[in-house]
This record gives sequence, structure tokens and C-alpha cells, in this order.
Amino acid sequence: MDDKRFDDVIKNKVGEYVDPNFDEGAIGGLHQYLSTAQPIPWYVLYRSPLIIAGTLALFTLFNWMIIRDYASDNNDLNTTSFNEEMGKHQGLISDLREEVDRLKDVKVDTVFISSDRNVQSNPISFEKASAGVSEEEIIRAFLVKISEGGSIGRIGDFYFYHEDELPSLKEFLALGNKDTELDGSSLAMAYPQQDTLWKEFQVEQKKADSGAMPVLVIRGLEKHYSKGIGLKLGIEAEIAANKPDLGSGEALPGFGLLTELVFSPSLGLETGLKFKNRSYTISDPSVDVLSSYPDINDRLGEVQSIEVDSRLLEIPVNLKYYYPIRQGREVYFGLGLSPNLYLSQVFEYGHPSEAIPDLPADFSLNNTVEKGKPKFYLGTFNAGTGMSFDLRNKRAVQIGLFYQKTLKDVGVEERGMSSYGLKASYWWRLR
Amino acid sequence: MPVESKELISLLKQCEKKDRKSQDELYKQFYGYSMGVCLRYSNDRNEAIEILNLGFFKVLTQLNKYNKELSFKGWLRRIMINTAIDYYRRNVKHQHFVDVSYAKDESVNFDALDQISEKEILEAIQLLPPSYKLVFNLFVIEGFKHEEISEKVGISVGTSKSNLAVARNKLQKILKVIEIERFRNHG
Repeated sequence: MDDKRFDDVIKNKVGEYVDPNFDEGAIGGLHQYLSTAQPIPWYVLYRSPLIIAGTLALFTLFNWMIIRDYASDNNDLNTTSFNEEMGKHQGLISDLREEVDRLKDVKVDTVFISSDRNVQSNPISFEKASAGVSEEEIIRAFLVKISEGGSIGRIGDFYFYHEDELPSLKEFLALGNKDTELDGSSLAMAYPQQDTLWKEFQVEQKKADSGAMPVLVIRGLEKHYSKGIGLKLGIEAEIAANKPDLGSGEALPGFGLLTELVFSPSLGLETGLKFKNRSYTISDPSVDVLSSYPDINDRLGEVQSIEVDSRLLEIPVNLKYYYPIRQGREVYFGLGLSPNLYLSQVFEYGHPSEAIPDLPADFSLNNTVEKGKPKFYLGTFNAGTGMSFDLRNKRAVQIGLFYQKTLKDVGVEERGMSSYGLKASYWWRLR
Repeated sequence: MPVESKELISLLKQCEKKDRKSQDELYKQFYGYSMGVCLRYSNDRNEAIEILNLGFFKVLTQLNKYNKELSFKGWLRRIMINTAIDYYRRNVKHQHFVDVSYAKDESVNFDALDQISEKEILEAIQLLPPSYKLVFNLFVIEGFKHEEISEKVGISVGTSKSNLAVARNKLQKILKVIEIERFRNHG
């Protein structure tokens, strides 16, 4: 038979053959290929540099704020800058101002004051005013003057005394200057009228070295005037490096809405809701390890790697202790627990690319399994520390480090996890 | 200037955006045509579907490489053929042969060949050993030269020529068997 003719007949017969039968099940195979093989996202190539850069940026910001705080020389803090600092205590001042009008009409009875530590040898005496108001109100009136005038230097050098001890006042003064022994009987002092007191105070102020109000005095003031339980609302962002008990973790961001119940200026209970991601990878997992992972497709060959991405809601309950280091700056320490609600988990099993012939070079073969049933876990133990920076209008910024460790294994695969990282939050004081 | 219809261009754009519904529609629209190609390069229908799906997987993941000034069908066909060649390379160890020795020295005549349906010819091609079938398809149906086949398949030009000759011979014998069977069945 003539080859050319034979070829032509065959080509004409089947060259443009269109199969008339559509196999409904065939498309399932395509869907499987499309779901198991995914393009490698561009950011995967830059993941590590981005994480390092982000971490460095956060650390730099943290350090800059600390250095800026300590670098400022307290001795250079003049009256004007002090006024600015005082202005930041809007919460306290606004409380005080509420009483101003009332107290302006109050005729001050007695305030015991000296501008010199050696009060016994050189006491300043004032005329004692007539009685009629409580000692607490007298002290408040004095503090109102301070807050209104704002031209105060070192309140720690000024002492209040009374023949009869005032427990609350004593506490206040002890905070102001630990060297002071409050003994009312031995320190019967001045009894100025309010105007005289203020005048004398101004005079002494000029003589005194300028300086910031001791932070513990501020804390004492805050405690003195705090009423009931305060409330703060905050938003938080964090970047946490996850460290599973097997494999290697990734640093991922988290976000949350928080609230803090303020029991006292030093103590608060933080809680809220945070959305977080946890991710880790296990390379060359052993058979034992694989046994705890769901829905592995044996048809695609051996599992070369496992990547687990978990989305969860965290409900932190942290007790926070604040310690003032200067006006408007506090160090905080926190301890607590965070129950976890796992929303979904995605298990990505890496298989040899040879399992799908002709896979393009820029594709990897991954079989992805999603477990979307929410489940509660006991969660993590939390510890953290950081700095709190007061801003204007009852707002504050907190930047800190934290550490978390799961109390029991979490996730479908039941794996322990610890994480550490940086977090920053912005707070509004509502009450 | 796109040579394809606006509807197809629009469908391809949706597919490029990973729209699953559009991907399915494209698959169904070109299933018959692609299957016609794949059946010639495969041993059976299941294998043809596997090649087809691999080919469509490449199409859907590389749509950005499609030049809209050229025919989509032509591009699709090239991908299906390349997929079939790669499939052959990976699965060459699984090749099997059909015994046609009893039909040797027989040859099909052209009149009889006209009576054989497209489907029967396709089935006959599928019975060829993979290496012969591949060369036969590339040379006879796609019109490649032996030098091109040599490069694509990774065999020498001599092997390509030899495979083609053997493929023709075997195919004629298979068709002869079909012809005999047809004669027996129809008296």
C-alpha cells in the first residue's frame, strides 16, 4: 500500500476527530489537579527577610521609645515642661477640676506644710484658719491649686503634717518621701490659710531645685482619687514567632480588640478577643508523626512535608501590674491564660512533584485538607512585659514582649506550641 | 487583534482569574476536541482522560502565556500534544504491545479503509505500542518532520523513521484484522 496515501486517509479520518461523548466524571480529575497543585505565592520567596525586617522595625521602635524616655534629663525639666507633663494626666486633673468650683468656696481650715525637710529646726508657720471643713477637703484644695497653677517643682519636698495623724495623708506623704517620718506629735507645724499657703508655696518653689514630680507621688495621687473600677478599650497588633514541639514555626501577625478593667492605677485585668494565625512546617515527618495528621492522600506518594496553618480566636485573661518609672511612663508585667477557639485548620501535605507528570517548574504538589469545625482548647499560659506611654486625651500606647505556651496539646493533630513576640496596643480610657 | 470570539476571550479572562465555573465551562466546551487528540496518543479512554486533564491543568495554569492573536484551538492542541509526549516519556516503562503476527503479510485496501469508521481507526491506533503510536501521530497527523520528532521525543532521526515504518505496518495489519472481523460479522 502506498504510504503517502495511507497516511492521508488516516489523517483525514481522525486528524480533526471530535469525541462526541462527554464523560461527566472526567472533570473531577482536573479539579483534583487544580486543588492539589497551587502556585507558590510570590511572598514565600521574601517571607524570611520580611519577618526579620518587621521584627527589627518593631524592636527599633521599642528601643527608640525607651531611649527617648531615659535620655531626657530630669534636671532640665523646667516649669513649662512640667506643665506639659501634668497636662498628660488629664484623667486626674479632670477629676480634680470637677471639685474646683466647689472647693473654691470652701474656706480652708488647716494645711500643714513645710518647704524644708528639716522641719523641726526651721518650720514655716502660718496662721491657722478656722475650722469647718474636713482635712481631706483641705488637702484636695491644695492639690487643686497644684493642678491648676501647674507651677510646681518638687512636691516631694513639701510635707503635710498634722497633729493628729491622717492615715490616708500619711500614706500619701510616705510615698512622696520615704525619708519622712510622720509623727504628728513631734511635727506640729504651720497652719496656713489657703491664700497664704499658696503664696508661700510659690516662694519656696523658686528656691527649690526644679524637677519632676516623683512618680510614686503621682501614683499615690491617682490611687487617692481613683473611684470604683475603671475601663479601658484597646486595639492590639502583634507579631508572634511560633515554635511547635516538632518542626519549625513561622512568625505571623495577630490582631485583637481588648478591654481592661482598671482596679487601681497599678492593677488591671485585661481581656478581649484576638484573631491569630499559627503556622508551622514539619519536614520529612516520620510515620508516627503522620499518624496524628488527618486525611493524608497515599495515592500522591510519600508525604515529604507538612504545613499547618491554624486560624483561631484567643480570649486572653491577663492580670497586669503597672509600675511607674516617670510621669506618663510605666512598665507593666502581665500573667494570665488564653483559651483558644480554633476556627479552622489547613493541612498542606507536600508530595513529590513526580506524582503529577509534567507539573510546571514553578508549581509544587501539595494536597490541602481543611478542617473547618471550630473547637475550643484550654489554650495558653501567657506572660509579658512592656512599656506604657500615656498620650493626650486619656489615651496610651503600650509596646511589649510576650511569651505563650500551650497548657495542653491543641489542634486536630494535637501538638504543643509556644510562641513569643512583640505586641503594640493603643488604648482609650473610657472611665 | 484577537482572532477568537469575544465570548471566548471573556471566558478565558475569567479562567485566568481562577473562576471555577468558567474553568468548567471551558473544559466542557473543548472536551470533545481535546479528547480527539488525546485518544490518539493513549492506550485507552482512561489514559486519554488523564492526559486531557493534565493538559487542561497546564492550560488553566498557563493561560497568561496564551497569545490572543493566535487560535486558541491551535494553542490547546499543541499543549495536549506536548502533554501526551511528556506522558509517554514518563510512562514508557508501562508500554505494552498487541500481537498482530497472525495478520502478517496482509494489507488493508483503500476501499475497505473507507468503510472503517473514525472510531475504529482510533482504536486501532491505540493498539499500537506507545513509541510507534507517538511517532506515527506526530508524523502523519500533526505533520512534524523526523528531525522535529527526534528533538521532541528524544530519539534519533533513524529511530523515528524506523518507528514510523513499523507503526504504519502494524496499523495496516490491525486494520486488516478489523476488516476481516467486519467481513465475518456481516457475512
